[in-house]
Amino acid sequence: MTMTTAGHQRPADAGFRHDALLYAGPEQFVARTAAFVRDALEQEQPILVAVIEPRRSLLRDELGQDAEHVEFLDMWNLGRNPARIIPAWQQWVERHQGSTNGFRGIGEPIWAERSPQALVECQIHEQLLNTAFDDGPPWWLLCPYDTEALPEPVITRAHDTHPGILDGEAHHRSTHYPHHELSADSMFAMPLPDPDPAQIRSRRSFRLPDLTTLRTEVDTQARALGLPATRATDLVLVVNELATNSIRHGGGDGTLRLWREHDELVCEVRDAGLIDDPLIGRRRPRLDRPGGAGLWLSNQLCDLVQIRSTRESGTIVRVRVALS
Amino acid sequence: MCVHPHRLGVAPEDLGFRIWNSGEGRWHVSGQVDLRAAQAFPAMVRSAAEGSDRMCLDCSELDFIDVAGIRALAQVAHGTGTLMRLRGTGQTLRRSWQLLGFDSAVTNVEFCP
Repeated sequence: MTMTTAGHQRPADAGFRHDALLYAGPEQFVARTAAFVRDALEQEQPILVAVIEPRRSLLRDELGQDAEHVEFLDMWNLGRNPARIIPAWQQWVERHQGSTNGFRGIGEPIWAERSPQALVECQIHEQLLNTAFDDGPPWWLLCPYDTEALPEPVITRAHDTHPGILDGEAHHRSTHYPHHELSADSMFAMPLPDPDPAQIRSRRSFRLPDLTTLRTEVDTQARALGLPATRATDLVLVVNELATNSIRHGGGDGTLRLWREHDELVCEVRDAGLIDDPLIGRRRPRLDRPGGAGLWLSNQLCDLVQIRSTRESGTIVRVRVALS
Repeated sequence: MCVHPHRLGVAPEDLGFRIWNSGEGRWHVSGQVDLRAAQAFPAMVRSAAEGSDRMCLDCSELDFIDVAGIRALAQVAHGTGTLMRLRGTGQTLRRSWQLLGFDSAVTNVEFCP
């Protein structure tokens, strides 16, 4: 473990720096994030803060007039589906990558109220930040973790997904990073819990001629479970895109399952294909480059998207939408 | 069997959609644009757009359009420069257009009721 005395100094030749900030309770949150922000402002580095309430207001109040020089993003809305966070940082990077002073961000993807399913996707997101930005321009992203509110395994995982840890005065390299369970391959191999068989509303295999029937099935079931008509229509488009991917890239056929889980509607599409791009669905589609638009749109229209893919068992994509 | 240059060997009833012209620059699309239409739909929209500076595509009888179809509309408008007016589109198409970033990437498409 290497220690540096001044936690907020960064070597000029460093690349992307991705640190977890461990803090206990609101007072430490404010003190530590405000110090990070003020340090950025002193060095004339643009800084974007994406945290949830009440921490956004707490930090804004503490910064006073300095807050005028800080950009804020509401992480509650942006990060509801954590797969939407990397594109927001990507935009931030594109805006400032030419800046000579460097630039920073504070991003809080994980909070105590996250569902167990969303939490896993958030941890995958934390790891994918390294994949997305390690080879890009240098900048510094700090991810606050509340050690009082979050369970111990979540803090342990933060050590696995962040190359650096700030836990007070000192900065140190995480001795757990990179974690062998969190390579791009193995994230796609993480198990998904089986649905309760009693809750499964439809299960059918499909090929190209079945797309119309499949869409009707999803629309009917979604409305029967109480999803408003416009959101049911969105979900029909999403499932159509997943099924289209199965037919085009997954061997010509696939299987749909649809069920209710607590207050969410879940649609799952399985096929024999392999997804080998860990950032799929997280890159803004471009007119001149086909591919990935279906999963991008799924991430924008759904509350959570879970992608699992291995050579042995093929690809599973689950999309979740809130029923209430 | 290839019976029509736009249909690329698929029998017309299997395409799932129909496009027709009802006068100067006025076009209509009905049915479902999905993977079955992956080649025919972009080709037909392109040939409709290529002939004129402006076109109106009435989508009020369109039951479904997938992301590839939405993308084809954007690409044709972008590629040909034809002013494309989309009439009677559903909310999902309009929302998807925006979420895919086409409203900033393609400036010559207008949505109207």
